Amino acid sequence: MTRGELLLIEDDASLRELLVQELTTAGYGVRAVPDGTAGLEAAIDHAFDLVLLDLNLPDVDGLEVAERLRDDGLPILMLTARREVDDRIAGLYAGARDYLVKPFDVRELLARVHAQLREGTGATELRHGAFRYEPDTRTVHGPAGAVVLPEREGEVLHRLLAHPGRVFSVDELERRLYGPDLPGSNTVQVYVSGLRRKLRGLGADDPIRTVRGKGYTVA
Amino acid sequence: MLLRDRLTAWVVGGVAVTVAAFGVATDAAFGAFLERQARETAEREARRAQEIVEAGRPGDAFLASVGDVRLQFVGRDGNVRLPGPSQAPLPEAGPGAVVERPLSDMDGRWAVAAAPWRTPAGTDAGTVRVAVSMRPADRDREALRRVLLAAGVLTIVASGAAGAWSVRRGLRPLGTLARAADAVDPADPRPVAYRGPDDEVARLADGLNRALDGIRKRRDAERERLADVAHELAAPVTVVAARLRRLAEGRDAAVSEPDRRGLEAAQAAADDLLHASNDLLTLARGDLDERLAWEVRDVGESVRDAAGGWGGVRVEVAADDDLRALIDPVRLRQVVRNLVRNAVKAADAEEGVRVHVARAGEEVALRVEDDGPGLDAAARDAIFGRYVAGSGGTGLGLAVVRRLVDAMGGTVRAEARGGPGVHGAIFEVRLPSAERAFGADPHLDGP
Repeated sequence: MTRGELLLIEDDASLRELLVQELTTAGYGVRAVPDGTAGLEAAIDHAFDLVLLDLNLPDVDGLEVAERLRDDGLPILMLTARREVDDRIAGLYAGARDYLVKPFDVRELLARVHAQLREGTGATELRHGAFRYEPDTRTVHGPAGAVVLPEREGEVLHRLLAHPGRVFSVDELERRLYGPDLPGSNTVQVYVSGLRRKLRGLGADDPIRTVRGKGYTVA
Repeated sequence: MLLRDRLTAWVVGGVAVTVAAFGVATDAAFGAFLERQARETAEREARRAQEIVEAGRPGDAFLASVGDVRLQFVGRDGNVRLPGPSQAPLPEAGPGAVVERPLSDMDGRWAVAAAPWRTPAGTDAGTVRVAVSMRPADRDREALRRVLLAAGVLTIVASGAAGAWSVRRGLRPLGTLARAADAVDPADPRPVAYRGPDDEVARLADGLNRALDGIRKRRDAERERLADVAHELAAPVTVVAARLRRLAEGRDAAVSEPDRRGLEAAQAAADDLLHASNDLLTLARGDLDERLAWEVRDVGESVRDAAGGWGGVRVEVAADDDLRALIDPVRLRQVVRNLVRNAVKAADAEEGVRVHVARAGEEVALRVEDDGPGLDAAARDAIFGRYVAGSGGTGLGLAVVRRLVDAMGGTVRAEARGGPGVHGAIFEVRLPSAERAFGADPHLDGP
């Protein structure tokens, strides 16, 4: 039993071999392919927990691959050179959960993979202070009882608790909730304020912090 | 001297010269007119007296004009016959002249004239001489001079003020442009904003902006090339660093002890390469692309983690302080690595470097001290610029520190360590604490 099944799409052979070796050593099952077409085919055959995708591919535009994979509901960790980070891509990164800029330290990559998988699957409960959240049942337990959250609020809380300290922008949370078809308006703000009300009702201080001008975090 | 003042001085000087020339000319013309008038009066009086004598009408008054007028009948021998020989004769000036003090009892200027003195019988008896005082005329001239002087001074003052105002107003766009040009940052030349009528100043602004634009384009092209280089390095550098670490950690094969030390050195060098190429990318990218992954993190932990590679460096973290700040952990590690690497180079030994993290009011302060040669004032100002190297190194490091700390909303400064017998430098980075970033936001807190 591995810690998670990964699909690695990377055209640079030496980097690909290195990552396979490092990730295998770290306990993950890795399927590595050199281009986008092979990557998309592999994704049909097998249900992966996470895709590591190089944005710069020889055959298909990495962005296109990312969009198709995301439509299949696969979480993506993008590997890219900083020069490719423009607004369009940054928006997509938000949907793709995470990205890592080359050159990177492999230890950094392992930490990111670990964080992604902790959020994606496996974790049966997330704790923070006096609160305990069970994603499967969308139940939050606090000192004064428990409450079952609506689906969207549950997703927001899940995302925040899975990465304590990390600041999520409204945009990022929206893309996580709705994919590319954004509903607009201030729906995320509505979910967050609903969440806060419910958390306060459980008998402890609300752990969600507003970071002025940037987004929300749990700290 | 400002152009404004110079132009004003020219305007005032020009007006003054014109006004003075005008005044002098007017005064001279008026003076000449008055003299001519007095001479004519004197001649007329002389002729009239002569005619009265010649016609034998002694009952008529000799003199028609009133005022200060003298009349003499002078014999051919030069003696005054009338009013009498006790008087000295007036000078003989046929067609008339202006004479200063013609006789001892006659002050001031006088117009004198003479006509032949003929008896009714027609014999030539001598000359009739007349003197008319110029005093009333000179008083008029004085009055005119005063008026001219007053008017002239007034004109100069008024035109000076008007000139200064219009010069100032006319040059205001130039001043605006000069200030804008002054404010251009050589490291980041942006076009200056200038709006005004389509005149020479606008053309100057256009020219300046074309030049700045050219510089900017060229700089962007250079950065682009730099980014290309760094980009090419990214994958191989990543692979080399990671491969060497695997080998150094001995996970792949048994390695002899000398080889292992060599591997460790190679791995450290590869890590340096990795970080340097990251620094290169950070600087090559424009500020627009500086995207940070914000996280609320304990700065002390990040610092311990980042400085951990230098075994000899002392890291002190104030244990009881809340050291959380809103940062990008990857970027903060880059900052710490660069500061520590810089300090180790300056101190020449890891043991000479001390890293200290503590709370400072609403900020988290990170100090890196070394016992190297220290900094002089000029170096202190220049040290965060790109490619300014202290001793060795690429000189990129501190510029990267500045860029990243700025992006994280913090400040960085360098100073020399003080005290007798103490030398070395202190670099201090201050980052806003997490609570300062937390708080109500009308947009985010929604309805």
